[in-house]
Amino acid sequence: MSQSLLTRVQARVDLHTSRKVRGLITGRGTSLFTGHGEDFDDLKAYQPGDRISDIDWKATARSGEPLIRRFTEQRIRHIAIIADTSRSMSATAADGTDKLEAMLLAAGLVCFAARQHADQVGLVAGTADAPETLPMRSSDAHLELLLRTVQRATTAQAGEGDDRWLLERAHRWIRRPSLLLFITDEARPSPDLEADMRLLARRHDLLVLRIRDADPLQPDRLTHSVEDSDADHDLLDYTRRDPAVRRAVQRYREAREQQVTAMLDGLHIAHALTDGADSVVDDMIRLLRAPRRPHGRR
Amino acid sequence: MVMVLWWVTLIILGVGLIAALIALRFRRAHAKRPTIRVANSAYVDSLPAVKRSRRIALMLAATSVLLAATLVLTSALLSGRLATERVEQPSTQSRDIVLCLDVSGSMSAVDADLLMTFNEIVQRFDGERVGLTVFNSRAVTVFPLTHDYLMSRRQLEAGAQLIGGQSSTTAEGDAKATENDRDALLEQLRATSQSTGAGSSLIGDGLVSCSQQFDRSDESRSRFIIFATDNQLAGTPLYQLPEAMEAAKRRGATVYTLAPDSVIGGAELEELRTETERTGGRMWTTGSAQSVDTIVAEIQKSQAAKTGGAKRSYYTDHPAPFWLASLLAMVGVVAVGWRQR
Repeated sequence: MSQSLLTRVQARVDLHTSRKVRGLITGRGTSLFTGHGEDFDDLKAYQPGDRISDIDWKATARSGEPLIRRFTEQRIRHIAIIADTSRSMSATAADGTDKLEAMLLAAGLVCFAARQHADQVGLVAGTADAPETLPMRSSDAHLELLLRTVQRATTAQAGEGDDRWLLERAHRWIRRPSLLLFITDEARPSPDLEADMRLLARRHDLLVLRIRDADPLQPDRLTHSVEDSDADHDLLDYTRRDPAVRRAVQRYREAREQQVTAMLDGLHIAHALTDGADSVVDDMIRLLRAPRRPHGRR
Repeated sequence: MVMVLWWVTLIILGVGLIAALIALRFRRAHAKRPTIRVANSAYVDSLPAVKRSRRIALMLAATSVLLAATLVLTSALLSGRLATERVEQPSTQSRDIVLCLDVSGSMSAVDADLLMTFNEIVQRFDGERVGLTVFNSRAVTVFPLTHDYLMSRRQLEAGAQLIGGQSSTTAEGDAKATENDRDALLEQLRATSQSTGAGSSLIGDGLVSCSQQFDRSDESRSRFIIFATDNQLAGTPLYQLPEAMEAAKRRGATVYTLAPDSVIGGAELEELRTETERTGGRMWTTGSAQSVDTIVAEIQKSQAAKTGGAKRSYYTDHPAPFWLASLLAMVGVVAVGWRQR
């Protein structure tokens, strides 16, 4: 690959974002990461979780609804990407693209935004057998290396997904309070990892991006066989077309989705579920701009 | 069971086998199609709906294979014309048998038994013509050569009842002799003893009369006389026994003689035996138990020899079960295919 991954991500971001959003990213550079700095950014409606001290009382009085001032975060931020690079991330996403591509775009978007402000970005990835960690640095070469490391690690031959190991490693590795982006798929983080997630969210500002998996039945694509990256099952065409099976699979996925969502919502962790590379940029921007509690304070 | 067009069956089975092999190849190619890799779908295998669906799919596949095999097999058998072969001698239709019974006084004790024997012989044949002539001083044709077995059995039955006062245990239904039959027969029996002045029990004349029953002299037919007499002559016949035998032989008839087993008349019986054997026939005394079997066997054997054993095969197809099976299999294949969609 001759072109740098970072450049490709930038091209994709430009392609995907509306002018308004692009303005937010490129105009003043750091709008994606709002925080508590000196430079006034803009006003926005108060939402539960925002600091009372940030409320702009004059503006509130003028408009009749509570408004808070947003400031551009000025100090150098520390960002870490926790990438699930297990073999299941090399499979197909719900929209038919590769899950890896969506993961690279999401990570690239963060890197790209961080570059504008010289934020430092680190990486926790890999599996227990082949851990991949990169310290927090801000150089372009480092960001490029980070993306390439994610790309290289995520293959069909990679280890089995182990989110407990990954979360524990992130907890041990990232000492400084940071902005964490955990990129994984729809089955993770598993609901029984609530304790690990809480531990991580208490210290850091944690975002979770989950990439939806492709339908395991693929009833419209019977010219292709379906293979799971972990399980060795051979579904018969008849089964793949069976409406009863389709309903059962749908019910199972919905139940799983509900459990994971309930766990994340219960911990007040911002999270998004994306269908794949085609929609990941929009979903990422929505996730980054979502109101969230300041990290480190509960 | 024979296969008339067995090679068609082989061709269809061969084509079916080739089709199965091609289908298998396609299946293998189908298994080698490109794959879509998905993740986190291990749960699919444990879903009850999937297990049920898999079971149904396998069952349907097995059923359709079985039905297709049945369809090929039955249509192959059907096309091969599975049939039973029946070998027949066409000449069985051209046998004539005249039963010739001496009803003179000396025979009265055994006539009923002889009629029963005749009845038994008649029942053994199928397709032959049978006629009955009784004689004493004159010969009377009770019934001429005919295919009407029902009538002939009734007449023989009536005769046995009339003479011996006994009823055949074999007669049943339509074959039961009626009052009319007996009355008619009584008339005929009386007629045999109306004197012509030449005495009674004219054996030679009786035999000649019997020989004259054979018609269609221009056709090549097998002719038999089953001649029941004791050869006790009383009077002056027009024909002596040797002359009568000669006349029978000239008409192409073989004479089989049944003589009552008696202590008297040894010389007459000996003459009878000699004369009978000159026509190519045999003589039995009624005492010998196997006479009926032997007569029937002899007649059938001599017949085969005469016609040179030219046999013809008749095939009777049995399509019904295979037709039904293939129809059901076809319906089944369509139904399973529809279900498999």
